[in-house]
Amino acid sequence: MGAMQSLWNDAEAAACRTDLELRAYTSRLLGQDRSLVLHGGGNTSVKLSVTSIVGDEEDILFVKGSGWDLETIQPAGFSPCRMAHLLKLSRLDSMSDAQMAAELKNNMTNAGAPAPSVEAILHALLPFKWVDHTHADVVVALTNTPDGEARIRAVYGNSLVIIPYVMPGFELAKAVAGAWPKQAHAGTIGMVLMGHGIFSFGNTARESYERMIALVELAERHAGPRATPTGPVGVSAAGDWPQIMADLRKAISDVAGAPMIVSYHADARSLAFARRRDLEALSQQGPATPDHIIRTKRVPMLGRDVAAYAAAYERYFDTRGLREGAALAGCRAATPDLVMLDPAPRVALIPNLA
Amino acid sequence: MDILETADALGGWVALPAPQLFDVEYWDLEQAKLRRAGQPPVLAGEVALVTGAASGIGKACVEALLKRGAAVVGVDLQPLVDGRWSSDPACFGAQCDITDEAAMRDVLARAVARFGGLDMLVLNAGIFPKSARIDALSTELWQKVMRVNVDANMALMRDAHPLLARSPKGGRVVVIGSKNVPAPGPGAAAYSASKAALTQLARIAALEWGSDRIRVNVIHPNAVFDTGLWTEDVLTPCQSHWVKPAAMSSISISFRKTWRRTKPVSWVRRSPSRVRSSIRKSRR
Repeated sequence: MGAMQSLWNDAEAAACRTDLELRAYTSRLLGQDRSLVLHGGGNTSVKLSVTSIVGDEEDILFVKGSGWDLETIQPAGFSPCRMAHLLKLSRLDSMSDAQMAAELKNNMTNAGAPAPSVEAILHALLPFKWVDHTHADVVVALTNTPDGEARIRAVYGNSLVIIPYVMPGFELAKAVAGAWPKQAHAGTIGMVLMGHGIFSFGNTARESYERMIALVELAERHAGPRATPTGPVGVSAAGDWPQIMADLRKAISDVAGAPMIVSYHADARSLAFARRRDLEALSQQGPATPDHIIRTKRVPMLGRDVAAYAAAYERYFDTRGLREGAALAGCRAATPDLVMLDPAPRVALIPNLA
Repeated sequence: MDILETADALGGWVALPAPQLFDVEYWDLEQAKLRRAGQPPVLAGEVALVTGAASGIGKACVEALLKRGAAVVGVDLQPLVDGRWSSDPACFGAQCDITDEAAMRDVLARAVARFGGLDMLVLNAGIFPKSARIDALSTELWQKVMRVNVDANMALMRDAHPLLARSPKGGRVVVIGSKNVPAPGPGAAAYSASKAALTQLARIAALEWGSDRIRVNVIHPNAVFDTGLWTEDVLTPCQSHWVKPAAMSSISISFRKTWRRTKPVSWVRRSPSRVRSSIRKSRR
C-alpha cells in the first residue's frame, strides 16, 4: 500500500460546470486508486436543491447508481432521490430489502436513472452536502484485527463516528441513525464502518475528497510500510503443470456446472503468499469485505481437492453459514426455498503450484 | 493479499463470522447482481486456439468465437496488430511460426497459464505457394508446403491432445481443409496434396480421439478471397479455371453443442458481387 496523495487538479475541477459534474469528477479520482475501491466497492453522493419543471424546489440526493463504477462514472451515473422521502423511510422501524429497493426506485425525479445504491438512505442521513465512501484496503485491514475498534480510535481520535459491523442496507442506515447523535459533534469529518469501509464528509467536493485521502493516509502511517516481494518467478518447475492445471479446471468446471476460465499467477507476490506457513489460518476466514463474497466465495480453496471444497461449501450452505441450533432455525436466511450457488471455488491457493 | 497481510502484521486478521458472510452472500440484493448478468453466451468459459489468426478465415474465426463468449488464443507468423490482442482480457495473441514445435509448446503453456486449458483448436494457418506444375516443382517447395500445412498441424494436434482431452465439455478440433481436396486444380500439387494429407490426418484423429470426447471436423472452404493465401501470383493463373462462382451468402460459423454429432459446420462465404469485385481488382 503506497502513500496516498490527492489527485485534485484545479484546471480539471474548473472545467466542471455543475456540482453534479464536480461530484462525478472527484468520484473518478477515488475510483482511479485501486487500493480505495477494490472491485467496484464504494459510493459517493451530493445533496442539491433542484427546481422541477412545475417550479417546485426540492432537496435531491444524487447518489451513485448501480451498474456504474466510480473509476468511470459520469453525471448520468448518479440517481436523483428525493431527500424528504429518504428521511421518512429512515424513521421506519423495519423494511424488507425488496421494499427498500422499490421505495428508492419509486422516489427518484428521473425514471430513466439507474437504481440508487442500497446505501442511499445512509447517505441521506449524513448532514453534509458531499459524502465520499470507499472500502480503503488499509482501513479494512485495521478494522479486521482483534483490537480493531481500539486501533481505529487510536488513529482517528474522536474525529470519526465508528459503527460496529451491521449488514449493509436498511439495518446499517438504522444503526447509523441511532449512533450519530451519540458520537457526532462539530469536529466530525467522517465515519468508519467496522469490517466494511470508511466515509468522509465535506462542505465542498474538494474538502470531502481530500479528507478521504488524508484519513486513509493516517491509517497507512499506522500500518507502516510492508515489504512486498516483486518480480516474476515464472511458471512452476513441474513439467506437467499444464496438465495439472487442465485437470484442475475440469474438476472446477464439473462442480460449477459450466466451463470456467482458470488463470494462473506465479509471480513472486502470489507465490510468497501461497507459501506462508500460516496460510490456512490466514486465508480460511473470509474475504476482506463482505460484498466481495459473491465473486470470491467465503474462502479460497487450499490445494487441489475440488470435491472436498464443494462438499464443505454445501455444508456451509445447508447450515446457512455454519450456524447451529436456534441460530440456524431463527436466521433471516433460513427460508427452505433458497437456491444454492454453484459450490466451485473462485480462488485456489496451491503452494507447490501458485 | 495486501489487506490480509497488513492486518496480520498488526496482530492478526479477523474476518467477519461465517453467518454474517452468508447473509451477505445470499442477500437478495447481492443475488440480484448475479441475476442481472443474465444467460452466458454459448461458448462462455471455453478456450479456443486459432492459427493464422491475424487475417482472413482465422481472423473471422477469432471474431466469431469472441462473439460467442470464448476466450481466444491467436497465433500468427505476422504480428497480431488488432487492438483486441493487447486490450481484450479474453484474447491472448502470440506471434509464432507454427513449424517451430518448441515455440508452439510454449504458446500452449502460456495459454494454460492465462486461461487454464484448451477446448477448441482451429487449424487454419496454411500456405499456398506460387503455381508450379509437377514437372517444374522443386523438392524444396514441396517440403516447405508439407512442413507448414501438414507437419506443423500434426505436432500441434499431438501436443494439444492432453489439454483437449481435459476439456470440461469435450474437446473440438476444426481443420481448415480446402476445396482443392475434392476438386484439385493443375499447378497446385503441393497445396492440394498437403490439404489432402491434413484431411486424412483429421479423419484418423476423429477415429482415435472419439473415446477421449474430442470431436474433429474438416471444412473445405471455397472462394474465400479476402485471405492471405490469395496473392497476385496465385490469383492470376486461377482465374482461367473459374467457371462461375456458386451463389453464396453470409458468414456463419457454428460449433455444435454436443460432441457426438459430427455434422460438418457451415463455412465462410462471400456474395457473388464480392467475388466478381475481387476478380476485377486482380485484373487491374
